[in-house]
Amino acid sequence: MPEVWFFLVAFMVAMYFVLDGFDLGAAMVRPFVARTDEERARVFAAIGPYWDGNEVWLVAAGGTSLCVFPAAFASVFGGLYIPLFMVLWGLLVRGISIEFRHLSHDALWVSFWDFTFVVSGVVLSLLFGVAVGNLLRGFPLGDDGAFELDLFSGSRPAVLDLYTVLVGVSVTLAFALQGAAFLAWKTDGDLGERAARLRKWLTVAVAVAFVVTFFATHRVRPELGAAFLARPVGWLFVAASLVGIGLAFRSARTLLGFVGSSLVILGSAVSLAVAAFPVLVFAAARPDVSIVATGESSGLRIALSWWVLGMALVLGYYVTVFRIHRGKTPRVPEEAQAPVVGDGTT
Amino acid sequence: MADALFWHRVQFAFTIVYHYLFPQLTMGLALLLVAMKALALYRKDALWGDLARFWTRIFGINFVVGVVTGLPMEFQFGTNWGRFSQVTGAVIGHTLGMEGVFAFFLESALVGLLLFGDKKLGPRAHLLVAALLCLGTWMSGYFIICANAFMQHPVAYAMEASGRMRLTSFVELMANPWALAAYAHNMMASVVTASFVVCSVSALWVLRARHLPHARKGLKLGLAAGLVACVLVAFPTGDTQAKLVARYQPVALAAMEGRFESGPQAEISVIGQPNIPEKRLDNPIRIPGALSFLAYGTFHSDVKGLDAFPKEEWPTNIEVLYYAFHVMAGLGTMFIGLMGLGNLLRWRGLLERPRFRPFLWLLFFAFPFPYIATTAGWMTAELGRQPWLVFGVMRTADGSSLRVHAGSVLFTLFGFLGLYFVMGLLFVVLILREVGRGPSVSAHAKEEPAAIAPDEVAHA
Repeated sequence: MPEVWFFLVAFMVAMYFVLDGFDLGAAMVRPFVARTDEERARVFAAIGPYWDGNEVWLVAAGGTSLCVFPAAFASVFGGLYIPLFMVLWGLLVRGISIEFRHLSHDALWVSFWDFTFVVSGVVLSLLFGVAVGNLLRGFPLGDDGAFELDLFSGSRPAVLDLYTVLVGVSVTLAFALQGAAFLAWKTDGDLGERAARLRKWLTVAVAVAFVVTFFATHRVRPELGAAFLARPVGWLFVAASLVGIGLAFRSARTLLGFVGSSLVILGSAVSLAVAAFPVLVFAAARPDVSIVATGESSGLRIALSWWVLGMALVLGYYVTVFRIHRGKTPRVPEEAQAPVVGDGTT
Repeated sequence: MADALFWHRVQFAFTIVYHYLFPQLTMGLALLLVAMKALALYRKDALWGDLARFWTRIFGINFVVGVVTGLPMEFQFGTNWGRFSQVTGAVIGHTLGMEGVFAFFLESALVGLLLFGDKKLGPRAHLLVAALLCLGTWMSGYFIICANAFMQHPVAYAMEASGRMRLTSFVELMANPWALAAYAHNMMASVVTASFVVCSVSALWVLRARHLPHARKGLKLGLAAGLVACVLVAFPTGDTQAKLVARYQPVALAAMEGRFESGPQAEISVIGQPNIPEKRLDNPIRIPGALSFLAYGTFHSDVKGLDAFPKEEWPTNIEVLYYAFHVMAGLGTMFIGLMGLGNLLRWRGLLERPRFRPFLWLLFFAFPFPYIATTAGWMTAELGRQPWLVFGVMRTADGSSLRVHAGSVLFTLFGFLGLYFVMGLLFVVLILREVGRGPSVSAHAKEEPAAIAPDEVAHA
């Protein structure tokens, strides 16, 4: 049962990256693809129906890991105290940027939220990538399963060090690709055109960044490679990733390109999970205190029963929301987008 | 260590109190929105539709602030209360996980449809969206209260050799008697908050002689729902809750009432100042026998005082606990009076008479008080639980994260103070703007503006 949950939690985190990845990515590529007021407003309109639900994957993954792996949850969250609060503040700013922007058409108001939207997108993407880097590199765990880690440090490993920032940049690029692919799929006109062009470039950048990260990870934690080779099922997900790269590079402005970039994220995340299994939290120096997936089966089985039911419902919600908003995002009418001087609403 | 514990507690208290200002309106208003939309549909009255659209805008702003301030709550279980999470996670994690999987996903899918799907969906489907969203917010409330109820009255667990808990019965966890009572009490309180807010805005419109037909509808619904909810908050839900405290947390009951000595015919002190060093209540005004009756149903029952418990089991902040309980109970009592009077005046058609303008002012100024009463109520529950994090099982001092020091916690606390201050300002500005704008009148209602025209002109 703990083995199943290891992959279900990994799946939830990967789904969070795939889904909120396109919101955060849309924020990051927005300055490059949206040039007019209408296009900027349309980027918000495109992710508007989805972002809140996408964010819930993170909350649900958090609550579920508290339930099934409380020791790992407590260890990582306590150890990454300061960076986690930065994530929370970033999510807070991102959320109100999207939901407050359209409440007034004052030029200053709109440009302020445009700015915070982009900044929070970049900061959050970097931090999520850095978090992945930290999990791969491992933590200075003590016998009590807790650790303390500097945010940055000249020489020693820290939350932000050469390796983790490299992973951070790779994930940021992957999210940007995800955002571009989403906009290329869900918008048309010049906006969709630019997003599709950017998607092509970002696909190349992601491919390069992932290869570099792969070798860096092999240096930081060589046993991941060995473990991966011992589990051939992992190749399936690597293959999915590669197919994704191909789709994201070559597809027209359709759903297929978005499926491609999603496969890149999902495939890489799951192959990492395959390599790391069953370790949830690596101890940097002492493998004997690493936190592995264990747990008492009856509780985990109960969790599985509500989780499966819940996920079936979630699938239903996503199908419904995507169906209701199917097709390209409509142009935003003049009165709902133009930043005019003074409050245009009165 | 003691230092860090203090700041962990301050940060959690601040972030949870601030957060809960928003969901209490969300949950109550969701119910009133369903009522408005149903009235619009089945009475074919466009005014209700206008009103529903207006309150949907308020709901939307309030909802998003509730969402973003809610995120830190779950994360703080891990960041600040790591040892608590380790010990109890396998039990309370079920309720928190289910809240995400069942309630938050549902809410997130529906809120966009509620805010922007009006025309796309048509009135029937839109009413269904509102009803399902209401269900989502109310489910969310139950899951989180289940987690809290476990801390107040732990059930359905067994302690393992590792020092961690394991769940013994899912049904028992979800049907914790404490959760059922606290949920009913809390949800009625959230309807009180929403009713007071609706009444307050409607009273403002009447005072300014604007949007009168809408204001009248708002008062009709707000006063009616408010009276029902105010009564239900006190009886049976509050009463049941009090009896549970008496049964499972007698030491908290003694501290809530400032009762230092045990004995029969226990009195309720309406007012008075708890004097801990002297172990007595200063300047009390008391109702004899009332506490015995509330706790056990007879006027002569024996009610334990603080003297019956060792000092290390006393709640750690008796003074604040005492006042929190009295503020909640006092306000709750006054709410019944205010809502009763409001309904009486409305029924007699006196609300808009010049002579009763002061009552409208009162109604207008009343909106902060349900927030205060609800906050005081939660402070009563949480301070009453001290010094325990899980009542009788785990002390608060043993629950904080191991390696997080006071400096880090203070850093993040300051961050929250700053962010929440700015966000609070923005929230107030946005809400005032919507209230000032008022309901946008639908095409149907525009055909018959005769009733309001003179007032509108006079006050333009």
